[in-house]
Amino acid sequence: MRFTCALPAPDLRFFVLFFRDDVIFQSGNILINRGDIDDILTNQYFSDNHVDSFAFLLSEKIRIIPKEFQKYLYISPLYRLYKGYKHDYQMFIQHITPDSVRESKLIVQPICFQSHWVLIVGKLKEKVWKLYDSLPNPEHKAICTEVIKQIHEDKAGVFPSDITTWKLQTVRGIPTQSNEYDCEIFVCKYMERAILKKKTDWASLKEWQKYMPKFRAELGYALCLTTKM
Amino acid sequence: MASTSSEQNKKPNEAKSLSLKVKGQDEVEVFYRAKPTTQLSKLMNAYSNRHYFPVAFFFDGHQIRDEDTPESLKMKDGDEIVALIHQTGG
Repeated sequence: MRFTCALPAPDLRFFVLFFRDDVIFQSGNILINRGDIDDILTNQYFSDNHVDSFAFLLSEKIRIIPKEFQKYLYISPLYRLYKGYKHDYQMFIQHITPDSVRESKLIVQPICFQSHWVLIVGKLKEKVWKLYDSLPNPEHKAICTEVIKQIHEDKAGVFPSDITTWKLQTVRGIPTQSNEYDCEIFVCKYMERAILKKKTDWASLKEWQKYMPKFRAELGYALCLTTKM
Repeated sequence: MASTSSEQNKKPNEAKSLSLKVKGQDEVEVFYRAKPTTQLSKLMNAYSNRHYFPVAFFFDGHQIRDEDTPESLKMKDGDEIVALIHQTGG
């Protein structure tokens, strides 16, 4: 016997649009809606919201297993955005004090430039900047120098030495993207590896590109787990 | 006397409504008046309808939710809301 449904099939697109604004996670400047989760899972570009939420989840992970990670100072990409539009950006760098610098090993700053994400990591002991770029390009290096200059101007005297004189080295041999939409998830994963105490064997991660959908799903799942009912 | 008493009744209500400034990326400032208990989604929709692009609203470093009110965010008269387009990349 064959059953047929009298009602027309519901248009799922309507439900997707209807629930896009439902808040999944919020903390400070981060606000993740259901639409943001859809973006993570459907290979869309990430916004500063997504990158900051990854950094938040990473800090939670470090709280649970601190032994595996180095102490670092994270600067939200909103710092550059606020500064660029002459808003009050101090809140994004107020945690960078002589004391916090003394206690930390790294400065971590994701940068979005012309729809591309890169990551710079300042090593306070070695006095060197490391640039993680999934699409290596000299133009990206130039913008990093500009950001370092801005941090130096805003935090004069906080660092033990002039951070603009530190060498900016592009990290070679890291896995890179082979499509036009995964740079942000690469930046998030670089960040996760860069702050580990154990040195990363990048050569063994050459196949990272094919795992990016999985990493996106992990981020979406982790954010959904943080939902407070 | 009746008119003065009605004015007196009105004044406290008027004093309650706050003037809030929304500053966009174009550095243009738009002023709105809102009651402390009014949901800020109203203000955000009014601003978004003028600008035709998706904007995120921040107050004191916190992203504003639809159900937030000036009272819940402890906003004061003349406070500034920042309207920004998220940086996206891939």
